[in-house]
Amino acid sequence: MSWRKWLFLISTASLLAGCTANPATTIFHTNSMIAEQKLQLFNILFWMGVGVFLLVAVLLALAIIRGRRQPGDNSEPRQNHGNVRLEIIWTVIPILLVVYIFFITVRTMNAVAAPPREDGDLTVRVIGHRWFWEFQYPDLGITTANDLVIPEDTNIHLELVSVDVIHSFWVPNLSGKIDVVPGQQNSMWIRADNPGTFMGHCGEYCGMQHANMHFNVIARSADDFTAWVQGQQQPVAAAQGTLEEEGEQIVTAGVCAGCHTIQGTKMVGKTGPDLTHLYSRTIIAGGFPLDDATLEQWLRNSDELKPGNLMAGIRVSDQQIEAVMAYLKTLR
Amino acid sequence: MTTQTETFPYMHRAEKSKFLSWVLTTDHKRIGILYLSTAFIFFLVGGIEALLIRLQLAQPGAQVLGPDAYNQVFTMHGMTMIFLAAMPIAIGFANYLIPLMIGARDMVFPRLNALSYWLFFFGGLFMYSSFLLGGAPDKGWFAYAPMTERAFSPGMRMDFWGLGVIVLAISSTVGSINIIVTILQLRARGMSITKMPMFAWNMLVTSFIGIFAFPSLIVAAALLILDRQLGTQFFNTAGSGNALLWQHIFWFFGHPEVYILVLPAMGIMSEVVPVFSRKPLFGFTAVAFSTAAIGVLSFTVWAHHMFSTGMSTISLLFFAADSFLIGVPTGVKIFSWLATIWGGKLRITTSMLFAMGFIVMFVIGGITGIHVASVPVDWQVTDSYYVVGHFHYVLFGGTILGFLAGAFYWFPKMTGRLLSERLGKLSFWTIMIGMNMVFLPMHYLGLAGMPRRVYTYPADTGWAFWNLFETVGAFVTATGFLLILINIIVTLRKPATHEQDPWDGFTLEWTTSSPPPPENFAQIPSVRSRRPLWDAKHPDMADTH
Amino acid sequence: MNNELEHGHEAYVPQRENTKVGFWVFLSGEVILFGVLIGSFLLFKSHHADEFAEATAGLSIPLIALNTFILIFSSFMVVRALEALRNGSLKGLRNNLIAVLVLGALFLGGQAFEWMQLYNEGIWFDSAFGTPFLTTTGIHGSHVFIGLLWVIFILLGIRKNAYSKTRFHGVEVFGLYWHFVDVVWIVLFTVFYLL
Ligand code: HEA
Ligand code: HEA
Ligand code: CUA
Ligand SMILES: [Cu+2]
Repeated sequence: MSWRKWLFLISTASLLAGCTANPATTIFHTNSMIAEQKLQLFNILFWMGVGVFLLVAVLLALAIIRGRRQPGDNSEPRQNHGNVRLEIIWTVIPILLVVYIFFITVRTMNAVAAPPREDGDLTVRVIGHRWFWEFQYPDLGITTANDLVIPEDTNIHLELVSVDVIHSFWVPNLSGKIDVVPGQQNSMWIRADNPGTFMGHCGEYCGMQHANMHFNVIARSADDFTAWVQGQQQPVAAAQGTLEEEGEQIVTAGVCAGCHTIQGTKMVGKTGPDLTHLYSRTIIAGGFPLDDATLEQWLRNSDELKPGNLMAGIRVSDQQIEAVMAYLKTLR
Repeated sequence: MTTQTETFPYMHRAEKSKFLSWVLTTDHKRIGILYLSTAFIFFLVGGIEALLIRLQLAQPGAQVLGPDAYNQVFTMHGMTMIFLAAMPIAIGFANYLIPLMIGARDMVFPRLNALSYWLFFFGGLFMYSSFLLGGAPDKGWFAYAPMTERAFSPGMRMDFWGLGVIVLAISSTVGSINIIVTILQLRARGMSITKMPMFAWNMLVTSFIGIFAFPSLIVAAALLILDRQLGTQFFNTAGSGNALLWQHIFWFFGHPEVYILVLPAMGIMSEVVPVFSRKPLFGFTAVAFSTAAIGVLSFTVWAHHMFSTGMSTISLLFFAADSFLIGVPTGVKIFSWLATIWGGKLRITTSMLFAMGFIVMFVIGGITGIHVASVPVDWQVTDSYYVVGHFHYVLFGGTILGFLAGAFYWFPKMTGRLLSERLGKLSFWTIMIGMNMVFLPMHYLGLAGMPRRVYTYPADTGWAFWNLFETVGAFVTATGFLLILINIIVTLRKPATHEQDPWDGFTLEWTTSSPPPPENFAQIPSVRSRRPLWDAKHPDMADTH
Repeated sequence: MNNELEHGHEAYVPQRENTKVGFWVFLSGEVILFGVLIGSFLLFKSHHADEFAEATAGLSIPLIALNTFILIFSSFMVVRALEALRNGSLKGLRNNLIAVLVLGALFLGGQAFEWMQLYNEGIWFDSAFGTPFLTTTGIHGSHVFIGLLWVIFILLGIRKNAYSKTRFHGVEVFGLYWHFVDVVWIVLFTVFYLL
């Protein structure tokens, strides 16, 4: 009978499942009150669901067992057209359940509602681009991309806007989604209880490369965070060494300047990610690990890694790649 | 107006060639069969697209389709399954069965009936022609603005989407009008609205939902085309447009649409389950009212698809509450079917197996529906594979399993031949195993952070195992449908047995020959109760109402 | 079982009204269509209040009031046309329908004039006001236009004497349509011009 199969599947599933996915991206490994509240709500609903399902499945199974015909029995059963009391029962009980579900939903919504801003809180502007995330720290004068670095145990107030289409900001470990809608500023708050790196994804289909619009949220202890802030606030020093200088020349004077910004140089492009402290990050281009090999591949032919990305046309030639890489590595 | 005088001139001219007789037909039975077969082919196509989706997702970084093709394929998979398979299959059943069930000689507007079929036929071809003409629509089945604006969708793809949708929506509107008037006007003598079969009830409500939902879709698509071709600003956020306006207009259609997809299957359930339990539908009136209640409520929940767009708390709560409420009338149906089976003397045919599969699978989808209707949970899982899991359990586990139950049940009436039960039961178990292998792990993947509509995913997410598992499941499901396909072909090659009433049925369609004559009944019967045929067979146990 | 196979006696309800019932169903859908358009207009209005105030100031209410009156009057003419037919006067039917034709054309003329005015003020489809305003009035106008084609169709039918004292349903259904288009306009007039 199908319901047995289903039970068997979910049990094995939940056994295997627990261990397959990366903890840094599931809603089960919460690192904040917000995610925890939502997980608890989900657990209640899940077990209620299991209950309702079992009720239906068991009733059906019993009905089938009782309903089996003895071979050769062609008689018809008693004709039962209905039973008002039963019908009332299975209308009223679900209504009560639904009222309870509504109640716990409201309770959770209140629990996770954004607290008022206090000093000591941090504000971050989140800007959705096709297809990467830009993060601005207005109070700290920092702009970065792909990595969202935050201090632990601090309320972070996010102001989210999009420069093109709808995206959605999602860090399963920390909180739910909020859409990033062009022409409308949305807001959300997050707070990390412990340091760590948590995967974020774009949660709204945004076109060709929606699949490669991940980001990392990196929660740091207070000291590490201040250290990071100081590092980011440094303007880049002029390049040292012939190769580096050649690279600086190519990058700042060439096409790159059209789209990218490097503070302390004349590059003020807005379309692409800010490169000022590129090499201080963990990923590039919405999800690719930042290492020399990947970055070089990206520069040589980004279309190969991320077909249709907005830099697809631009390729660094063999003669230039060495110098460019040398310069970019100085951006720490 | 008498349907015969409208029908026969055509039939007459058509006698000349078999092909013409099908092209020019206005006979509801032939149009029904045209609907069903065309839609089934589209279903297979949509299924093959699903297999492509699964192949691309089988492991991280797979190169089967690549982003551009993948986005076209998943969009067309959704469009095909909803607009070219599920809806037309429902209209096909309605076309074939309603006149027979209510004791009429044809639909009330036979020519309009033919029109709506051919609009559907060419609308579908038009959509698919886009593959040859610069690519198919690739912005998902709900085509969120502003992604669909010229600036982000150059070329013709979204114009194909818009025009195709308008044609299909008009086709369905015409069909709905026809069904409504037929049910309201053509019932046989004695068949008061409370005595008509539950399938007719469900089609009546479904059609009314359609009448109020499709205009919203037509407007949405029309405004999109105006934006793209005439430079209006409705959804152009770069100008004075508004991104969420699209979502409101679309989902005002979109949510009712999902009940348009499931109510017909529920109607089939309410015919199949009683016959094979040898009992009347338990609590007929309650089931009828719950259907109507679902129809009304379905227009009050659309923004539960927009929980993460930053709505005000008050509207969040309103739409959540109404979404929960819909669970109640749906539950009434589920329990009524259970009570119908309870105490029956069951005939476990393939049709009955699919019907029982519906109950179990649909409840899973319904429950996850309640989960995503709970705002904080939805904030986590919206647009993740959890939602994909939810709607496949209701669409596949509900709509499609219900249709399969109906297919095995009425195939003998339509063709005069019984499908093989052995093959049928085999396909049932294959499909049940397959669909659960595909769709159950989707819930876990969603909770594990996997967004939907991604053509690939990084290996370090650890999503690979269950994706591969699902892909295997998809091919198991495909095998099941291959068995059904074989079953149909083999059976059609056999000589017809013309059994009039193989299942010992209750309703009027079983009082005429299989397949029925063009005028359906030599004499239109007059009806005293909900199960005229049962009464005829069991005067001792005849129904009182 | 009943032995009389006379159609109409076969069915639970009399068969005369089928087309009319169907048309009512169709119109109930049209309500949603215009409802959505009006909703969009109001949303745009709330987002671009100043632009709307400015643009509506430019509209000439008298002209549109006249236009509205013309349409209402044409509706009245349809009623008279149907009456005439019911009394068996094909002549009356024809004359009144011709009046409807003329009035409808006048209405469309007034619309065209207003659009020209807006165009000269630089308000067109790409403006915040023009987007919902022109689209909605345009879609309503196309409904009027279709109505006029329908009138012509009926007029031709009269020559082939398709209508008579007893066969008036075609005209009746057209009446439904025309009154609906009329009512929609009154709503649009109130929402777009007066509010
Ligand atoms: C056949 C189609 C169908 C059906 C019947 C349903 C039924 C329901 N759906 Fe679903 N839904 C879809 C098709 C369907 N849905 C689709 C296609 C989407 C995705 C669209 C897209 O984004 O592409 C979607 C998405 C969707 C969302 C948006 C998720 C998101 O995008 O974030 C939500 C949110 O509320 C939702 C809710 C519900 C609810 C509450 C029901 C209820 O009607 C369920 C009611 C049934 C039951 C509850 C089970 C039976 C009841 C009992 C046994 C009684 C006891 C139960 C209780 C007391 C609760 N659905
Ligand atoms: C009734 C509706 C319906 C049905 C039945 C299905 C059936 C299936 N669906 Fe789908 N699906 C949707 C409606 C439906 N779907 C919708 C609306 C979306 C959202 C789209 C969007 O996001 O815009 C979606 C999205 C969707 C996705 C998510 C894509 C993404 O977000 O990136 C996936 C992924 O696995 C999927 C898989 C499947 C699978 C494996 C099946 C299988 O069950 C299919 C099984 C059937 C077959 C395999 C057919 C059998 C074929 C043969 C036997 C071939 C042999 C014959 C010949 C060669 C002639 N579907
Ligand atoms: Cu950005 Cu999806
Ligand atoms: Cu919905």
